[in-house]
Amino acid sequence: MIGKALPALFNRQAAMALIALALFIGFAARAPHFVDAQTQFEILRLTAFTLLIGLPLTYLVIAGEVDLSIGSNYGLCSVIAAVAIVDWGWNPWLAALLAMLLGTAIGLFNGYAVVRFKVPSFILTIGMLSLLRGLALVITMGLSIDIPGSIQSSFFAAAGGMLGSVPAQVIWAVAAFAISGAVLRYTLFGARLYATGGNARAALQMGVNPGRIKIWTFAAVGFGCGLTGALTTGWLRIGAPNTGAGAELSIIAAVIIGGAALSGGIGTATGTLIGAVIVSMLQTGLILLGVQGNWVQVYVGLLIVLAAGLEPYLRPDGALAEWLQRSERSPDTG
Amino acid sequence: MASPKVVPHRPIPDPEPATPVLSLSGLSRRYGKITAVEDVSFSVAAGEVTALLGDNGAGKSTLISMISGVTPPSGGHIRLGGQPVAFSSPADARRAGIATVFQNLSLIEDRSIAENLFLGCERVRFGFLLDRRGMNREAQSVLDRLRVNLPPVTTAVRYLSGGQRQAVAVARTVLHGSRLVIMDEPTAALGVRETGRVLELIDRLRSQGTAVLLVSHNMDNVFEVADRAVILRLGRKVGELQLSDTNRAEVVGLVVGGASPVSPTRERVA
Repeated sequence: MIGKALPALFNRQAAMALIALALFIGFAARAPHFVDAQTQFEILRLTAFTLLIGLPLTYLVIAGEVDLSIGSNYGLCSVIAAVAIVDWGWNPWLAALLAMLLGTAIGLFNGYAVVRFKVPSFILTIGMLSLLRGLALVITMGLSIDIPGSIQSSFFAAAGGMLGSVPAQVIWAVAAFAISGAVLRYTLFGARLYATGGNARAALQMGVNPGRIKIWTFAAVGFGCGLTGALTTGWLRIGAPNTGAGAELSIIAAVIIGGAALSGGIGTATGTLIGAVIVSMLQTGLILLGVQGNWVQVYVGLLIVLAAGLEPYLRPDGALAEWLQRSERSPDTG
Repeated sequence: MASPKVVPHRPIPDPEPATPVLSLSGLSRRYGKITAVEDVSFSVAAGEVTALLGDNGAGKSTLISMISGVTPPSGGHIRLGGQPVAFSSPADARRAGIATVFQNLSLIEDRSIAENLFLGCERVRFGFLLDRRGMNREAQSVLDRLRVNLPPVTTAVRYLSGGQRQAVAVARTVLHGSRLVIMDEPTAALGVRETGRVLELIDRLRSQGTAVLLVSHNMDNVFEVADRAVILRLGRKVGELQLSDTNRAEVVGLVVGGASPVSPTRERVA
C-alpha cells in the first residue's frame, strides 16, 4: 500500500502541487485579506504574466538553453507599443502586433546567434539583457510614456479588462497554457523538442535538426515577451522603460520550481503552471504578511536555490527515485 | 514473365538474388598524409553476418563512418544493391537503407521506448499531430517480431538494461526497413546473459534477410554469430575468411599480424 502511494506522492509534480496547496493554506490562515477575491485575482494576474513568458521559456529550457533577456525584451516591447500608439498615432492593435513582431525578431536573433555562432545562450542573453534594457531607456529617455485617455480602442479592454470578474490576462494565460501543453504533448515539434534537449547528438544522428528546433523555440520565447509587453501597455496604459526589470528571475524561478531541468530534456507546461502559482502566491502573500518588499526577493531567491539544490535528488534517476524503488522492492524479496 | 519483385529505393536494372547488398571496391580514406583506410574491397550479402575485425587503429571506425555517410571516401566506390552511391550525410545513408547502431546507441534517456524507436521518423497526422497510439502499436509489433523481452513501450529508456537498450537500437533499424545494419561493438558493455540476447537478435536480423556488418573485438561473439570475417590491419584488408573453414588461431594471427600466428589468449572454457 505505502509502497504504491509513496512514488505517487513523490512524483515531482504532485509534490509541487502539494507545496502550493500548503502555501495557500498557510497564507490563508496567517495573512490578512489573502482569501479576498481581489487578492486571488491579483495572484492570478501575476501568474498570468509569468506564464505568458514562462511557458515558452519552459520550451527553451527543455531544449537545453536559457534566455536571461526575457525581462528586458518584455520591457522594450512594452515601450515600443506605447511609442507606436502615442508618438506615431498607430492603431493600438497594430502597435500590439508590432510589439509581438519585435519580440519575435529579438528571439530569432538570440536563437540564430546561439545556434549558428555557438555562443552559449547564458552569455549571449546576459548581453542582450543589458542591451535591450538600455535601448528601452534610450528610446524613452528614461521616462514613462502615458497613453492619454483620449485614445480609445477595444485593445485596452482585451489587454486589461475583465470578463465577468476574471481579468483578461488570465484568459490569455489559460489559452497559452492550453496551447503550449498540447504542443508539448501531442505534436511533432514537442517530440523533437524533448529529443533536442534530451540528447542533441542522438537527435542529430537520427535526422532531427536540433539547431532549427532551438531557433524556433527562442523565437517563441521572444513572441511571449512581445505579447506580454503589448498586454502590459494596454492594461496599464503606460510604457515604462523599467517594465519587467527583474522579471527574468521570478519567471526562471517558476520554470525551475516547475521541474524543468536546465540540463535539458525535462519539463512540462503543468509544472510551470504550478511553479508560477507558487512564485506569485509567495510574492503577494509575503507582502500581505507585512514582510518588507526587499525580503520578498530574498525568499524568492531562496526558493530558486532550494529547487535547484533539490533537483539532483528529484530527477527520475535521482537518489529519491532510487530509494523509493529499493524500498518498494524490499518487501517482495525479503 | 514473372520478374522478381524488388522494392529498392532506386530501380535496379539487374535484380539477381546474387547481387550483394553492399559492395566496396578500392575504398580509401586519407587524412592529410595519414592513410586510415587503403584499397579495401569486400561485399556483404543479404541474410549474412559479416564480422569486421582488426586491432585498434586498423581502420574499422573509418571504414564504418564511410559506409554510414559520416565521412566521404577519398577514393574507391560504395555500391548498394549494385548501384554506386555517394552519401552526403548519415541521413542520406539511412534513407538508402543503411542503418548504423552506434556505440552510444543514440537513445534519449527520459523518453519512452516507442518515442526512441520513432525518433526522427515520427508518425504524424495532418503533418504535425503525433500518432502516439499508432506508434506504440507498431513499436510493439516490431519488438514482438524480434522476440525481445522489454517492459511496455511507454517505459522510459532510462530504466532499461544495457542489453535492452541495444535491442531498442536494433529494433529501430528494423523499423526503418534497413537492408544493411552496421553494429559497432554491440556487446562491449554487456554481461554474459545480455550478450547472448544481443547475439540472438543479430541471428534474427539475419533470418529476416538483413545484411549485418558486425564490428567486434570479441572472438567468441564473432565465431558464434558471424558467417564471414573481414580482417583489417593498418588500414588494409589482410584477410577474408569463411568462419566455418577457419579457426581462432588463424583469425587472431591475421588481426595481430606477424609471420607466426599468435595463439589466442582466450580459449573457450566449455
